[in-house]
Amino acid sequence: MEKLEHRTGLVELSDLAERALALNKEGAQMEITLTNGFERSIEVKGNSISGVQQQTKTKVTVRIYDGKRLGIASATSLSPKSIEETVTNAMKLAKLSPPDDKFVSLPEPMERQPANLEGLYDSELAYLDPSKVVESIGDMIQGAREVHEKANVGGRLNMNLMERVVANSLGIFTQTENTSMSSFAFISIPLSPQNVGVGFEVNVDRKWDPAFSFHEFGKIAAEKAKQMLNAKIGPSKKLPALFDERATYQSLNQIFGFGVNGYSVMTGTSYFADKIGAELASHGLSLFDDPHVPGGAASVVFDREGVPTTRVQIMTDGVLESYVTDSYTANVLGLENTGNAGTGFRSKLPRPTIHQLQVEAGNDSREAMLEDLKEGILVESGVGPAGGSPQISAQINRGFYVKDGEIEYPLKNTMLGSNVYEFLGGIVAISRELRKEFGHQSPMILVKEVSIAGAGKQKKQGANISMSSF
Amino acid sequence: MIDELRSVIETVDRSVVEFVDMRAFESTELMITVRKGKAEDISSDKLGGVAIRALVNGAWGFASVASFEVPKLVETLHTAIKMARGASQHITRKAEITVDRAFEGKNIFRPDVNPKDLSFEEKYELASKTEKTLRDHDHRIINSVGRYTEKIQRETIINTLGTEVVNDYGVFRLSGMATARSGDVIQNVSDSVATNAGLQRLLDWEIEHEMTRLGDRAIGLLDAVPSPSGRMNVVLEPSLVGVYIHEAFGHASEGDAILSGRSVLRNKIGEKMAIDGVNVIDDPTLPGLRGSFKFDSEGTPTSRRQIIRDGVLVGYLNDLQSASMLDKGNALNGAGRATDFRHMTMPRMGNTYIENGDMSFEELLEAVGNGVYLTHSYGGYVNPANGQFYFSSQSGYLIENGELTKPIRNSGMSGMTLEVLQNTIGVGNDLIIDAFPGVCGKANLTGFQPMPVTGGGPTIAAKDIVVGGK
Repeated sequence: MEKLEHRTGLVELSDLAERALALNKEGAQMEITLTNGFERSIEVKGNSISGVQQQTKTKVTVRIYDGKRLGIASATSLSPKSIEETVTNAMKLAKLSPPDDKFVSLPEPMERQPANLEGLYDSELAYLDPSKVVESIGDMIQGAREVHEKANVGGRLNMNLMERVVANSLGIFTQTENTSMSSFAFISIPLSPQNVGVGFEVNVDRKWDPAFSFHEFGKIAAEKAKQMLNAKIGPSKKLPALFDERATYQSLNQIFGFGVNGYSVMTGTSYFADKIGAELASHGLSLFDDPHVPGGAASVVFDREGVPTTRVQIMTDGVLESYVTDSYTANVLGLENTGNAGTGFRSKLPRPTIHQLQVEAGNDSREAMLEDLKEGILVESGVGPAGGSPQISAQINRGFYVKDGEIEYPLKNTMLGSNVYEFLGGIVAISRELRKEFGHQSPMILVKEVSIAGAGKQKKQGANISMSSF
Repeated sequence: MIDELRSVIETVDRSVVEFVDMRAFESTELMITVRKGKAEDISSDKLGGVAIRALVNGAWGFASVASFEVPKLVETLHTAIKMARGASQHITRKAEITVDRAFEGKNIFRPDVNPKDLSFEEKYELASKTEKTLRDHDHRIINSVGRYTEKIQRETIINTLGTEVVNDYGVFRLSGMATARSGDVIQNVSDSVATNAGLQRLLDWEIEHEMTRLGDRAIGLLDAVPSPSGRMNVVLEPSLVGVYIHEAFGHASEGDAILSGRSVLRNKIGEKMAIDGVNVIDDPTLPGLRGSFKFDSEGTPTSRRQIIRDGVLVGYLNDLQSASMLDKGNALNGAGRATDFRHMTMPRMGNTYIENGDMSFEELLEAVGNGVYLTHSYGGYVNPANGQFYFSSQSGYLIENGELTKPIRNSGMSGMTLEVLQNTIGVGNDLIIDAFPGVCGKANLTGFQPMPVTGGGPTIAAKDIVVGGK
């Protein structure tokens, strides 16, 4: 396989980080994060390869606390001059900022040892020239078109190489090298403007797998699109909802991702704030965060602050056990730093995040859960709370109306309403079979009642409208 | 910069390479976030580098580099050409640039109030006052955030057609967010002022008045009832109309979706899409708006584009490629935008809105009779391939017998592109073009790209919108 040119290299990143830390002569607490890498992609559009790209991923971010005054600066250039300017800019901002009384300290090296985790870096994937694998991606088009001659195939293959050094003035100094590969197939089958079946499939890996069949991958996505032909708007009524494994994972990841996030708990906006020890879910739902699954898509040895990651039990038998924290939220909340610092949303600050959610199996049979569904909805896409409130008012992007255990028709233009308490409290079955993929695991779950909104006359005003019980 | 770029592009062998463009990009950004009385995030960001795109035998190659040094640009150009060449051996549908127009121009940023003329302390005070007004409003507001952001960027664009353009662009925003909580009832609200013209509009914003109104809304929602559920008549306030038209029609009219066959508006030019009198516009030339710009990221002067005229689909949003390859609706109208140098351009919206009608708010309520009045958008998304879209509101009211009655909480809505404008009952006369200053997200070969846009319109009434409530 032809290789592309080498990149900066971890050794050079480490040197740059050490030199940057040496610029901090005023005793401030300082953290520097240096990233260097590429994303290489191949795109399929309208049944044809459309292009290939190589995107630079360089970044320096400096966080300085001058006492309790914060300044953050970042830049895309890794030249020594740029890094020096970035340190200066962060220091300038810190001197201008009002103090943050709640700030205690950046993280210090801790006793917890970093995991000896394999399968996060693959030298073949790191140096793979995308133009050499274009033909394989083209197989995806052929696979999809074999399923349906009108299949319109789109998709993308991304290959990432990322080197990162995180260091701070308190002694944290971590170096990591990661690769990842993600494939997406978007298929539409337009039989008429009103009857378009759409299907989506994804695969994530940390290594280049020459045995991976893009042909089969395209077929799976196209089969999914075909299943969505002749979709109908669902009924408007309260029904049980059976979530397949991916929908379970996506929904619970949304619900818990916000709910147990130390930042939302700290700000009081989490619907799970003050709920540690409370029984929130029924039927023995248990879940945990495991960033150490070999080859997992989101497996990490260190978090974004250079803190060793660890397994966190979030819920056991329906009882909430733990939040996930970074250094700031752990200090404010008086909790252990669980090593869950991730990339902030609309912020340069790290924020706590669930790395890789694992949902434990139940005792129910997957087949029986569907067969026993007299009338309900099979949901195959995630739903979650909107805008940080516990309300769930989500479109069913992929779902089916089920009658007497059989799928009757695919759904379009249909919504699902609930709230996180009723959703979790309404779980009445959890499958013993698990889907394990991309580093996470999930069963199917059955929620006894959600509001389905689709066809049907508008409800008489006032009917079914009441003050919420939660 | 033009000279450096020209020296590189002149090395392109035009007998082999059909088209090349180079886009040097530099930006500086400042963000100040104040939460619950403390400086939470004080950060600056500096981006700089060059995007290079090459078309070889109908295939695109793209490469980016965080440097302006000529030898690195030459190397990056060769990478882009190599990528394109690798893809070209496997394409079945060739991309073309047949547009034979070159543009020259220099758009220098001349802000009404230059951010350089305001001290850091004055900018901090804007965010701080926004947050404090919310915090002091009511003890049930448990989280309050004020945020100031400024971003100034310059793109220098040249291509092998002869285009040489320098285009400055600014984005400025002041926003307030509040979370009200009473027990397990949690409601989030937000509001902002945004512009590309400088800081005048932010300084003119009546912070106390606007944040008092926002605080009232947050508190009012604690006693609101969940929205009813099902297919019903709705009245949409202008910010929701903005998101609705952005999702329902804007994305489906983007030239790349049309070209790849992944839009329900493909081959629909000249067809009736809406009731008489409905006009849909995307106009990035409007002065001062967040989605306005002079030249797009391909160097084409942008222009006002009519998507729907009197209910009939009349045009698409095009970049160089879609203008070259589409048979109808193919006017080159300067819609090719890219977030920064790490990304490739694609057709995007600017300021999208429905034009004014002639009905008063009371007439719209009367026309609806019974239903819901939905206000203040949270955002939305669409799958243009099947036309199914989703958007959500922060708040609203029940409409009973043509009058507003009980307040309702946040809810989501679903619709189908080809149905919604046909289902319009009435169009109001209270147009606010930039009622929703937002961030639009869309992906192409180089991944997900956020882009500043606005959406707006007058209040409108529509039937058969699916609302997901309890």
